[in-house]
Amino acid sequence: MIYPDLVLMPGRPCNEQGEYLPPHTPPPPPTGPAEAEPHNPWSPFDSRIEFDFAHYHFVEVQNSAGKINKAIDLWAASVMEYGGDAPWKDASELYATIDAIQEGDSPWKVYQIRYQGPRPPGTPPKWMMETYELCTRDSRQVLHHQLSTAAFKDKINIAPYRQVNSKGVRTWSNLMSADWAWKQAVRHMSPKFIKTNIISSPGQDRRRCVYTRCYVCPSDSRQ
Amino acid sequence: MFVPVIAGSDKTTVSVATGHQEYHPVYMSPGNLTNIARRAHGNALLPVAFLPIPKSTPYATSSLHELMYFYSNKEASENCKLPKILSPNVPFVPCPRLSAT
Repeated sequence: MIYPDLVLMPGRPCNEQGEYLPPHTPPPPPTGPAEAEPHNPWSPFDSRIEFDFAHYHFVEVQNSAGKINKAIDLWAASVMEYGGDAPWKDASELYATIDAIQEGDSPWKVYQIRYQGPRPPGTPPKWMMETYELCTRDSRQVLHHQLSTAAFKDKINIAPYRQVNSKGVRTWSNLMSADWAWKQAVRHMSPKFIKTNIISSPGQDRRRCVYTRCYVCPSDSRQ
Repeated sequence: MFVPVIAGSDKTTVSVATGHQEYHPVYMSPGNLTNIARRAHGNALLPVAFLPIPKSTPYATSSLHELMYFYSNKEASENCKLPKILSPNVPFVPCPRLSAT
């Protein structure tokens, strides 16, 4: 008979106050990306027709810039007698609006950086003097985004764990099942921890081992 | 929740048409995800940065320590020398230990 692997201390989801959640609790509603214009869901486009126009020409039929220019001219001509104008002058303006679309809730930013360490005597290497572009985004927001992905519901280890197979032999499968993660979060009881969760388990020769698990839990983290 | 961060870069260079710049992409993944999820789902491993490559100085890019120093952000991390890319996580990593292998 094959016994399933035994997972020790798999962890349980909790809320921001550290209270355990009942099983199958749905996640909090998504906060959505921070919109520059909260009243315009089509931002950076001014309206749905502008978005549809760009989507049709750029995504669906993938028109050339020349054909987009002609379509924009026709748009402008059709509304000119009513005093209107097309939202873009030419295709390059339309491309700029498309580039301004914000994907996800963690925008990319470009930083100008240069070497700030000690320089060797004499003429320093060229790369120490030059300025470079570092393109990066808020890594914490990216982590939140990843952790809040609903598809990971059953594919995530919210606490370090230990796994033994049917023969009682320790097995390793994921990062959180290994000693490194365990050592980071599991300590013998110590008063210096802020939030603690005491777990008792029967040890050998009738002793009871008491472990303290410290949850490094940012107050605004989401389960 | 204890969230280990797995981050890495590879030798794939991203060529950008404007300026003929080349970058090393940096990816990040929460260590909490199972290995299967990390390999299967697009959200599991996301790019967080594109590192510029100083031209004609292979040694400048080869050393991880140098890169760490290169990207360190004094205001965010003071003495810690945490890379700027990870600086949003500074409040939760009060005393980072960097090691190069």
